[in-house]
Amino acid sequence: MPHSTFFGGVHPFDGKDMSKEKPIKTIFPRGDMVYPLKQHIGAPAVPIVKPGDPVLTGQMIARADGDLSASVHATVSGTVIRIGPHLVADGTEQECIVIHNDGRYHEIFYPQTRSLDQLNAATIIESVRDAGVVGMGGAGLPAHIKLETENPRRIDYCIANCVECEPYLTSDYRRMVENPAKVINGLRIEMKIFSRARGILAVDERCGDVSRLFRDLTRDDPRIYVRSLRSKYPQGAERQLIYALTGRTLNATMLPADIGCTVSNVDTLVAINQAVMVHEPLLTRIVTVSGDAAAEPRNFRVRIGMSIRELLERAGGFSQQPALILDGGPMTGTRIDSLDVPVTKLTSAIVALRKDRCGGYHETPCTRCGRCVRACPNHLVPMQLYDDLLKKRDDLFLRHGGLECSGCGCCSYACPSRMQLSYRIYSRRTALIRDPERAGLYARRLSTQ
Amino acid sequence: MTSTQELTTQLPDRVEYRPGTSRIRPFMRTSYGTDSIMGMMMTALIVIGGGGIFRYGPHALLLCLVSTVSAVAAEAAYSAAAGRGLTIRDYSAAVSGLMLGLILPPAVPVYFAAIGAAGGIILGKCLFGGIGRNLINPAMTGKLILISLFRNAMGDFSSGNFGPISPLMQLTMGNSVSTRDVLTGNVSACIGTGSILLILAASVFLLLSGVITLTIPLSGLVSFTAMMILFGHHGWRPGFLMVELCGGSFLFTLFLMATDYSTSPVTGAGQVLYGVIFGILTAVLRLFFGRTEHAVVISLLLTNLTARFLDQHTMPRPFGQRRPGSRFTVPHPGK
Ligand code: SF4
Ligand code: SF4
Repeated sequence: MPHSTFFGGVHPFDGKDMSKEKPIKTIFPRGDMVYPLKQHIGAPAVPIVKPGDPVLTGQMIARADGDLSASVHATVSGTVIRIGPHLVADGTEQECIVIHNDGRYHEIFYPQTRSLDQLNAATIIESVRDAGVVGMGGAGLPAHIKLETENPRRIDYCIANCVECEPYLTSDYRRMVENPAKVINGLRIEMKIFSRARGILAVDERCGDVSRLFRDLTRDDPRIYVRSLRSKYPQGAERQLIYALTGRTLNATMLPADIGCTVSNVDTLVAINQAVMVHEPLLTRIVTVSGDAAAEPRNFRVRIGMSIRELLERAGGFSQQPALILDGGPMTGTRIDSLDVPVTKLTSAIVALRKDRCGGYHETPCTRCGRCVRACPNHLVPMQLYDDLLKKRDDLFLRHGGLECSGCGCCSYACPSRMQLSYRIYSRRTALIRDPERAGLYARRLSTQ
Repeated sequence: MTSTQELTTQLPDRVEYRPGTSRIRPFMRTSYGTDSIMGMMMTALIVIGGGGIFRYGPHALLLCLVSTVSAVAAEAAYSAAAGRGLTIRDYSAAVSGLMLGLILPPAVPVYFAAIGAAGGIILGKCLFGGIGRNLINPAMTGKLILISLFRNAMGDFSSGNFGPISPLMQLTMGNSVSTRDVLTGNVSACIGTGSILLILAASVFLLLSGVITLTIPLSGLVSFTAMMILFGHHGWRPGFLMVELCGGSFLFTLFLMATDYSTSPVTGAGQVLYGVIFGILTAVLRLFFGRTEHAVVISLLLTNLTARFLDQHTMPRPFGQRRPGSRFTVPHPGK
């Protein structure tokens, strides 16, 4: 039974109005480009160019290594300068290909465009794999993995995740307003593979304009439905989204395919559409530059590999000294410690916050107020899990369902004592899951991570 | 102060944050902290206390002040002695102290308030390890101490024009009671527990501001009323139910003390059961053990002791966890 929302969750200040109404602006980078070999879950790609090689826009520069991996393409034309470690947004150094941008954007030759009727599953999967498309909602699972389930006829819901529950992010919203046909076509391509599935476009209830637009465009497609969901964080998380739409529940040991669902994010669908219809590899993505300290909050179509420093410069910089610069939104993002890192396939936003939005909190003892319990969308008791951690009782942690934590951050958000619940619980969960004996069935998802 | 408002397209070479800037997500937190919650609780209690002081005169004010101050002083002294730092900043000690003041009879000597508040805070809170660790409500502990020390004085509600007998006692003695007086608080009662309308107003304020939730009060009300109807020998008679509900500090205890965070369960099901246990226990003590005014003291402290047990046994099933035999089961992991 569908519910249109889930139990738990929080309502953080969403700040979307800052960048919601501004059209997407395309930026052509001028500086050098950096391409990490691993911008996804799985094995890093293997470089197929060497320093000194000339490259064209759209040319593959690193090939997927095995099935659980994604290729990387040059997004500018120029020459390869070096291949080696470079700082990336999470603060670590990773193997990257650095390309000098000649500013001419010479493209490779693209074969003739396809039409929806002449597609079959094998063609779709192959073009998605070749284009290096990954799940751009944050998970980063190579997109062809999802399309390649053993039994596509078991999938009966093909869900387009158009719910952008993360505060400040409006990139998906702009995408839906400006390229609705691409989103819908991406969904139709997926539904070619999952021939029995219904397509569902799940839209946030505050985006009534998008729902109307989608309804108009899908009026004569009997397989596609538009559903509007309650505004709440984390409505866009896989488990909560599937529950709200279908009433089916998923725990942390399961994949959506186990209960007949597949979920793709807006940007992923557009990338699939581009890859399949016009052979275009994943070259650009929409990045929201926003936050109270950003001079001009706005969405940009950015070439992957561009440095965040250049992006911020072109976006007008800061209106005041930011107290925090984030890669991603304030709930799931990471702090950026250097601006000289590249935009990757998973960079959804750069958010610069003022002090009063992310002020220095210090932890005080738990008062047992129960807010974390009411906030947890996975029906855990975070204060109890935290207590188990303090006592170093892994057995209790497991018994209380600690491995079901998705790290969504609702408990930390809601805690009046400002305890770092989600961070601690999720870190412990990740550590435990690496131990195959403890993890049991949970290891199943790890193999895809 | 220089807060440059003009555009600085010139970006810093290195990103510099203030020391102590978190690198732990989520970076955004709710605006309310423990202190603001306790502040709201304090406001509600002050409103209720205002009604009591208006009715019972300056001595009531003195009692409230003394108990608040001595609770704060006791906690500060204990924390200093135990090396726990300044723990009174979150106002929770002040809330407990004022709460004790409000459940004192209006004419008891001032040293009652001092002893009760200090004893309640030390025994009922500090010895357990401070806020969030205590198993029993400090204010109620204070009252229990006072009752066991000064049994007669604590059962005497006389003050000014008000006689020593509370409406609930009169009801049990078979006298008739004016419903209107009970509702407006024009009766002999503890300082804060008589003014029913103020208690309800304060509870609505706390509910709306999210400090307390309705689960415990609602289940307590329902179970208590049901018990009274079933075993009270008066059936549905509204006058009787009204006095039983409004008298004997029941509403005050239910809305403001049973909802205390530390001593109540955190799970939804646990809270329902907790409310039910409190309602039934109070009714049983009143009906079968002849306790009137002090029934809530004993029943609240006993119910407090069940909170941790209820929590352990009412943990919610994690989202998506299957009951055996459900339709979508986890397939065995493939090789
Ligand atoms: S981070 Fe984990 S424990 Fe906290 S609310 Fe999310 S799922 Fe629950
Ligand atoms: S929200 Fe924080 S203070 Fe409240 S019960 Fe959970 S951990 Fe304790």
